[in-house]
This record gives sequence, C-alpha cells and structure tokens, in this order.
Amino acid sequence: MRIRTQFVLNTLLFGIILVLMAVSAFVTHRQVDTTRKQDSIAASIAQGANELSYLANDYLIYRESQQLSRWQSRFALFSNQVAALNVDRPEQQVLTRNIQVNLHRLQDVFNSAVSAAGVSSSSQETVLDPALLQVSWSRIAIQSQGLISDASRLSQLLRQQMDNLMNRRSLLIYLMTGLFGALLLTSYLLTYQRILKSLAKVQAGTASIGSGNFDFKFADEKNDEIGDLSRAFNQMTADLKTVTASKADLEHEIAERKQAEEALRAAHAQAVWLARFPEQNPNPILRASADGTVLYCNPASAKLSGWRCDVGRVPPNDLLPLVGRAMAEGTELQQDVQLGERFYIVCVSPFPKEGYANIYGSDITERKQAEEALRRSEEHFRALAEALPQIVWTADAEGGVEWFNNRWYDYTGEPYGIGQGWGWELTAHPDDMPHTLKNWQEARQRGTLFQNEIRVRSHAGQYRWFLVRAWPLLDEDGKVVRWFGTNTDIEELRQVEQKLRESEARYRTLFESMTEGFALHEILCDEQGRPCDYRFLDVNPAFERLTGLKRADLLSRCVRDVLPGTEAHWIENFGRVALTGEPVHFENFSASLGRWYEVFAYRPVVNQFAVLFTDITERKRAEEALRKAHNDLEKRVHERTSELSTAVQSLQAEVVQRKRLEATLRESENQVRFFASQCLTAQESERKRIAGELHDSISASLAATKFAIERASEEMKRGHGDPESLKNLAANLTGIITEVRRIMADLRPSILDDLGILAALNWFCREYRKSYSHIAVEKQIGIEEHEVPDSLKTPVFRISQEAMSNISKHSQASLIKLSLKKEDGRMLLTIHDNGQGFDPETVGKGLGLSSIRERAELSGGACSIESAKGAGTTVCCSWPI
Amino acid sequence: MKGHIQRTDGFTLVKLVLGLLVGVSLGFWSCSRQDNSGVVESITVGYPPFESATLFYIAEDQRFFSRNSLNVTPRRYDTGVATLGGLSNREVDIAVGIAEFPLVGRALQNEKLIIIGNIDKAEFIFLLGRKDRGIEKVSDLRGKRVGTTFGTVAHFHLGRFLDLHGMSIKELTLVDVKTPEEWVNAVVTGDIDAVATAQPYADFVKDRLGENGVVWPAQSGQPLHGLVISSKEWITRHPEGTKRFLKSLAEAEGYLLSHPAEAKVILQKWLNLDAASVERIWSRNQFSISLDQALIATMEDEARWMIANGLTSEENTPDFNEYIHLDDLKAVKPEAVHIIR
Repeated sequence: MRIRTQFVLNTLLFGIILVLMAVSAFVTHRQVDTTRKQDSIAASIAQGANELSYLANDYLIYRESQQLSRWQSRFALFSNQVAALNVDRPEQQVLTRNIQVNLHRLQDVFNSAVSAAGVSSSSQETVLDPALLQVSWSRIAIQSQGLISDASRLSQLLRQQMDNLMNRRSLLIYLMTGLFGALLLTSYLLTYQRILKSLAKVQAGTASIGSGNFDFKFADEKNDEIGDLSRAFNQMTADLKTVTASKADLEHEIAERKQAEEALRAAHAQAVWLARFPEQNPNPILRASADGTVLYCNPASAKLSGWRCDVGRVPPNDLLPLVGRAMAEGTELQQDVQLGERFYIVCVSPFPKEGYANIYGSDITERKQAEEALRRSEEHFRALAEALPQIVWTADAEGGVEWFNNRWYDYTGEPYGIGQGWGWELTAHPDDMPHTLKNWQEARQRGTLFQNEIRVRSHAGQYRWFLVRAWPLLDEDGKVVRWFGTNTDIEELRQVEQKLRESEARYRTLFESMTEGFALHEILCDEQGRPCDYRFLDVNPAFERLTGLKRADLLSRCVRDVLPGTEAHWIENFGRVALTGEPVHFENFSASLGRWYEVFAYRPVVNQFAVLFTDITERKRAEEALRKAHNDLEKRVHERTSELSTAVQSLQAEVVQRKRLEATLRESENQVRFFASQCLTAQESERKRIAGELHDSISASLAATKFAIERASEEMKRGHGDPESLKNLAANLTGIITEVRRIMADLRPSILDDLGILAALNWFCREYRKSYSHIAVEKQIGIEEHEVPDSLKTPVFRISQEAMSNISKHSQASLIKLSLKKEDGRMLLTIHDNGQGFDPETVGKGLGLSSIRERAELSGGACSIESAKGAGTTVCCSWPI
Repeated sequence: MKGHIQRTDGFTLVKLVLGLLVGVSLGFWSCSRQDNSGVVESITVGYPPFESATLFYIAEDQRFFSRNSLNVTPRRYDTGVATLGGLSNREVDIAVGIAEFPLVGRALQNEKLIIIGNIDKAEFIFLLGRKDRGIEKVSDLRGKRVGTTFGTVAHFHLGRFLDLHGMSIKELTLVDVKTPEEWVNAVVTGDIDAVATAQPYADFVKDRLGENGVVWPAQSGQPLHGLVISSKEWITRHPEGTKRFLKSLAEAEGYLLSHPAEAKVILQKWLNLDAASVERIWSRNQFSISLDQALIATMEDEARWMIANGLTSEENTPDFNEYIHLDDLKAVKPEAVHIIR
C-alpha cells in the first residue's frame, strides 16, 4: 500500500472514531433525558397513589363532599400521569400495564366503597359502619400499595436504565479511546515497520555503497515510495560497480604482494630462532665423537651438576657406554641416568656417518621423586584398604578393575586376580548388570561420583546387596586417570529399610483410614521464645473431612495464615505441649471453623506437636439441647408447681365460692319452688279469673242469647214472630264478640304482633285510662320500634301490664309515669307511681313483683324495684341491645 | 532475509497488542459472568394446577433450575391448601403458586410458614350460578347451595363478594367441594346451584353451562397472589438453595417478557389448555416476582374477615411481617421488594 493511501486511511479512521464518540454521547444524553422524565412520572405516580389512599380514607371517615371532590380531582391528575407513561422495555411495559390495571381497580374499589357507604347508612348518620369502613380501607390500601409498589419498581428500573445508559456511554468512550490508542499504536508500528525500518535499511545500504560495496542490493520489493527508492539505489549501485571494476583489481594485487612479504619476514625470524635454540635450551645438549670426546656442549650442560664437561673432554662416565652402544647399533637410545643427586632421561641420537652422536638430557628428578612418593602412597593405600571391612578396589580410566583388596576375594572365594579387568561381572547378579553397566558408563563419561546398588554372589553362592561407590582421580587437565571404589555390604540395611517401609505403609494406612483427625505441626516462637504460631507438617484425610480444609492448602503454611481467626488459646496450649513435652487433652470450640473439637496433643519431637482430635459439635449440641431441655423442664416444673399452687388456692377459693353458690342455689331453688307454687297459684287464679269473666259476661250473655233465640223460634213457630227481636239478638252477639276480644286482648293483645311494642303500649295506656280514669298515665318513648329486639317485646309489654295492674290494685296512686328508652346500649323500661309505696323487705317477694323480676331476668335483663312508704314505687328493668 | 525477519517481528507486536486486547476483553467477560458453580441441591417443589405457578412452569421447562445447580422434583396437588399441607407435612420443601388466604388461616393457627416471594397477581376467582335454579342476580343466591373449597381464597372472595352486595355468607348453604373435578361437575350436574372457584376451572364451568350459566368476577377488584412459600427451618438450612430458586424464577420472568409466545405454549402444555384460555389468562395475570406492601394489606384484610366470620378462634390479626422473608429476594432482585418494616 502506498504511504499516501495509508495516511489517508488513518486520517479517515480517526475521523470516524471521533464522529462515533460524539454521536454516542449525543444519543445517550437524549436517552438519559427521556428516561429521567419517565422516572419523574413514575415517582409522581407512587406519590399520587399514596395521596389517593389518604383522600379515599379521609372521605370514608367523614363523607363530606369536599373530600370526594378532592379525590376525584387528584384521581384525574393521577390518570393523566399514568397516561403519560411511555416506556419501551418489556419489563417496564408490563409494570406500566399493571399500573393502568390497578388504576382502574382503585377507581372501581373507591366507587364501590362510596356506593356501599351510601347504601349502608341513613342520610342522617355521618359515621360509617366500622366493619364496612375497615373493609373499604383495606381494599383501597391493597390497591394503592400495589400501585406504589409497581410505580416504585418502575422508577427503580428506569434509574437502572439510566445507570446502564451512562455506563454504556462510558464503556463506549473507553472502547473508542482504546480503539483510538490501538489505532495509533498500529499506525506507529506500521510506520515503523514500513517506513522507518525501510528508511534505515536504505540508509545502511547507502553507507555500504558509499564504502565501496557495489554488490549490495536492496531486497525491498514493496510497491510503495520506499520500494521505488530502493530500486533506484540498486540501479545506481550497478552503474557504479561497472565504473570502479579496474580500480578493485589493482588494489587486490597490492594486497597479495603485502601478504607475501609478511610471510618471508616470518620465515626469516623462525630460522634465526631455530639457530639460537641449543644455546637457549635449559636442558643439557652435548655432541660427542665416536670415542666420546665432547665436540659441543650447550651452556646449560656446563652449569648442571654431574654434567660438568667442556669441549674436548669426555662426558660423564655413565654416558659413555650409551654413546658407544648407540654408535655401534646405529639406533637412538634412551635411558634414565642418575648423575650426582639428580635424575635425567638421556637420549643419544647417533650419526655414524658423520662420526658423532647428539646427547640430549632432561632433568626428571622431580618426576622420580613423585613416582617414589606415589609408590609409597600406593603401598600405604593398599595397607589401609586391606584394613577396611569394605571391599575396596581401583580401576583404570576405561573402567577396568586394576585391583581388589582381599575382602573381595574372601567374600567371593574367587582366586586372586580373577576379578580384575571386567572379571568381576561373573560374581554380580545378572538382573543388576544392565543398570549397573549403564550407570558405570555414564559416571565414566561425566567423570563424577559413581554410586550403585548391586547384588554380589558370595563364596557360598548366596547373593547379598552391596552399595558400590567410586570416586574419579583427575589429572591437571581434569581428565579421569583412575577410579577408587568401595563395595559396602548393605544387606542388613536393606532388610531394615524393607521392614521400615512395611511399617511405614502400615502406619500410613492407619493414618489415612483413622476416623480421628490427625495433624503434625511445628511450633513457631517469637523473639522472647513464646509460641506465636505453628506450621502444618502433615494432616490425614480425616483432618480434611472434619475441618473442611485441604491438605494441599495447609502443608508448610502457618495457622495464622490459613485461619487468621484462630484464638490464642489454641496456640498457647499446643505451644506448651511442643516446648514442655507435656501432653494435653481438652475440649474446645474453634470460632474460625465454627465447631467443637475433642483434642489430644502430644510431642513426638522437640518443637513439634501432634494433634489427634474428633469433631464433637453434634455431641455438644445434643448436650446443649439436653441442658436446655433440662432447664426448660426445671422451669416448667417450677411453673407447673406454681400453677398447681395457684390452682390449689383457686380451688380452695372455688370451694368457698361453691359453698356460697350452693347456698345461693338452695335459696334460688326455694325461690323457684316458691315461684313455681306461685305460678300454679297464679295459673289457677288466672283460670279462675278467666272462668269468672266467661261466667260473668260471656256465659251469661250467651245464655241470654240462647233464651232469646229459643223465644224467637217459638214465636216464629206460632207465626207471629217479630224480626226486630232478631236485631236485638245480633246486638247481643256483637257485645259478646267485643267481650271475647277484650278477654283475648287481656291475655295477649294482637296489636303487639301486628303493630309492635310501641303501638301495643299506646293501646294499653289508652285502655288503662279507660278502666282506671282516676289514674293519669304519662308515657315517654325514646326508642325506635326496630331497635327493640323481637324477643323483648312480649316481656316489656307484660312487665308494663303487671306493674300497672299492681298500681291500680295496691298503690292508690293518681299518676303513673311509663318510660321506654335506649341509653348506653341498653333498653330501659321505668314505671313510676306516686302512690303510698311499701316496704320492699316485707312486700317485695309478692307474686306480682316476683313475676316482674323473673320475666326481666329470663329475657336476659335486670330488674330493680325501689319503694318506700309514702314515696311511691319505681320499677326499673333494662336489657342489653 | 534480515528485512523479512524484521517484518515478522512487527507483525508479532501487532498480534501481541491484539492478543492483549482480546485477553483483557475475555477477562472482563469472564469476570462479568456470575459464578453458578457449586454443589447441586435437590429440592421437591409442590404446586397446584393453576396459572399462578406459571413462572415455575417456565423455569422448569427452560431448565433454569438445573442451570442454577438445582435438581427440582415437581409434585402436583389439587389445591393450594393441599399443597400447603404437603409443605407442612414436609412432603415438599417449597410450595409455589399458593394464594395468601390459606397461609393466613395457618398463621391464625400459629403455624409459621414463610413467604419468600410472590410470582403472580391475578383475578381468577369467579362465581358461577345456574339460571335454571333461579339465579339471575346476586340476591337470588339467598338460600341456594353454593360450592367452594373451605379455607381457600375462593371461600374468602365469595364471602367478601356477598358482603359488598349487602348479603352474608350465612344466608347461603355452603357446600365444601374439594377437587377440581368436583368444582366443575358438581355445578354442571346440578348437585349444587352455584360455585365459587378459580380459573381455569371457572371457564370450564362456564363452557359447560353455556346459556344456563351466570358469571360474576368474585374478587371485586382485589387481586390475589401466587406465593412462593417454605418453612423457616428449610430457608435457614438452605440459604444458597433459596437464592438459586428465586434467581431461577426471576430468569423465568425475563424469559416470559422476552419470549411471550413460547411462555404461553409452556403454560398451555402444563395446564392442558386451549390457546384462547391461555390468552384470557395472560390478560388477567401479572406474572412477576415481587414482595410488596399490598400483600401485607391483603393478608391482614383476610385475617380480619376470618375473625369476623368466626372461622378462627383467634381474636387478633397476626403480624404478617414475621411471615415474610425479604433477604433472599433482595439479594436476587432488590428492586422487586417494597415492604414497610
């Protein structure tokens, strides 16, 4: 791609990103603004529901028109707010729909409550029936709370939406910024790669070309501006190379000549150096004639003791035979020679044709001394090796055994020398050979310690395990020159190890399978030596199971690190065990694990402690439950005892009460018997009265009518009957009918059933005044007909009848005041006269008064009779309604 | 060759930057995902065959429970009362789609069952009468044999419906019909003159009676709830399970909103309904998980009604705040909780 195109594209991309960022910010702002408005509406709806609930209840309590109009006005506003809700997400739309449905329900409920309130009470009453009020209030509360809940939830969702929008905007900006940065980085890398790197290569290439390297060629074949430049440079280099070819050939020839001159100078220096060699050699060099006369001796031979010889003299005596033998044999001889206190290796090179021999000496005194020391050391080593209980051996650098001490021969029973080289393989167990040879090969290659276990056959034919170890002996260059090895009998050790392994396996199985948790720890102390922490060394699976902690998470870690909430008392207790060795056994609660444990801790080694524990949380809970149950039982027994005591007291009181009640009952029974007898008497009296009435009025009238009918019949038989006599008969019958009605009315006025108690009392008072015109009757009624229960109408009428009858018979009163009214939830009937009165102690148990009292009490009411001589009488009865 | 090597290094850098961006994005993505790992809990859930348990049907059908590491065993009962009985007898761990009225009855008997969520608000109690028994208007119900299941929310709404029409439930001859089959058959065969019952059985009765039937919505605008109930002991012992259960129901609500057609098919399948019935159900239910003050107000209203009608020996309304557990729903869906405490 062309650099210009790349630049244009980059600019375009940057522009797009900037536009995207701006558009995103603008769109999000619009969305947030819209959502905020909807949130405001939702909040207003929640508040509106609250206000509507208040206004509805206000109206239901007071039922005044202004509350109703307020409710309707607020509801209209509320409906508008609900209608203004416009959300786009499914969950928000569902809530909006719920709000709309609940809005209509609220209106329906309120309207039905208003309607029910209107129906349930009369127009004069302002107080709604409490039950209906409660029901209406609850129904409105349910609707309004549902509205509030949905509106609040919608508001929260809208707020979440706003937050999400803001977060999304931020994320988008971050993303765009990141993209912007990535684009910048990519642009930089591309520029670096494509332009700067290419320019650098061009720069390096021009430098190379500038230094005369016309073979340089730019490899960049890109189709861009740099590629164009590279191709131009390649063309230019090719042209320059052609122009400067002859100059290069000339320079090459000059260089070769310089090299030849340099080689000549070096050969001459070597020749001079070689010529000076004998003179400078520190070792003695002689040339002697065939008869032994010294023809040449270098300066070193003149200085060395034992070599002191000069040209023309004979060499030292020990050299002469060598010279003679070499000249005679014509071959070079070499021999160690001691001259004085020093040792030399002497090499005699004969030149028989020339008649002389060159004698070269080299001082080997130090080497000889070292060899002697080595020999003595070898003897010492072998003596020492023979003294060792182990098999000791040496081997050469190639691994062949050079020497075994006598332990090997004693053990294997092999004849001396058999084990040397690789003969020892015959005594080794065939199964152990492959790995032994492999290890031995590797050790020799590395030049490091060789260690191996191998079974070796004894002279008795039994194999025993040996630990074979060999150390390399290195020379100054680090090369192995020899191996020193030992074979140690480890048969018993192996057996012990095997037993140990078996034992450990047994204990490991026990460790793994035991149900108690087990853990081994190392105690850690602070600078004052006080236990401050402990480290887990090992735990068994039961430990993991009981604590919920994993072994891998615990090993080598400290308890304060693993369980930061570990209480100090655990560390103190375990520290005491680890430091003093005194075992402990206790039960305690671990707050960090939230469980109870029974713990036994002991010290296996100093500064360590092992813990054996079981989880007793369930047992503790059971104990706690048992203790609580015991306490509860104690408490219950105590309470029961107290209750029993109270009950006994109550029983005693009840006994007293019962005795009193029994006395009352006996008195009541007597009274009942008295009343029964009185009732019988009254019945008889009433029957007598009715019989008297029937006899006095009806019977006589009927008899008179009968006679009149017979007389009329007789007259009609005689043919001169008078029809007028029948009219009188009809008048008589009408009188009889009226009389029968009067008697029936006295027994039970039909008006009581037909028109009710109030009409019956009116009728009775009117009739009473007709019968007893000297007694005035003042009547006061303060109760509605429907307020008098049906069951009380007859008792009220009869009591009034009985009381006023008594007054007419006994009081000599001139005024009766009769009152029937409602007061404090009770109905009161009062009959007062201004007569002579009586003493209630003496007269109060008479039939009439007793009958009044009895009627009142049997109908669920109460009765009081107040009277005093000369002060009139007041009968007052009341019933709950 | 040198130039080629340098270009490779440049591309490596670009790849490194892109890899870093992808890695960071994946990191954010994986961090943003909620961790549902954990031990699978097994839960037995009781439900009545009503539309009030719709979210439960969806969660079970769409495997939201298993995705939240719950192994749910559904157990069907005939009524909400029977389901609540199953919960009391520990036959189930959680009861769903239960109306509040049976719980109010239990509360008045001092039985502490705990509401952990509400998944439906609905009007699906209807009163249906037979015209051939002289039932044309509400007052015609006087002295008639009217069936309902005692102690259910239908019982309450029948009583409340009559109260609001100036009548007392004592003016009827109430018949306790206990199973969905009885609700339909008893009134269709004429064993009873009218029935107060829940949907979809009210629709079945309406269809069977045809022109001979008269129908009144019995709830008088007061919605009933489809509650999720458990015992205090179970909630205490399974806090994580409770949260996962509510989370699954909340996910079912999301599914219902985003896939209404599929959700309707699921309900149709569970209750064996026709498409028209499902559409009617959709119009009269609010399937959403929540806990709000209206629930308390409703339960208190029902408790007062039971006391006033002598259906309990208790004289005081219980404090229903003690029967509602808010914390787990707050943890799962905080915006759905509106209870005054």
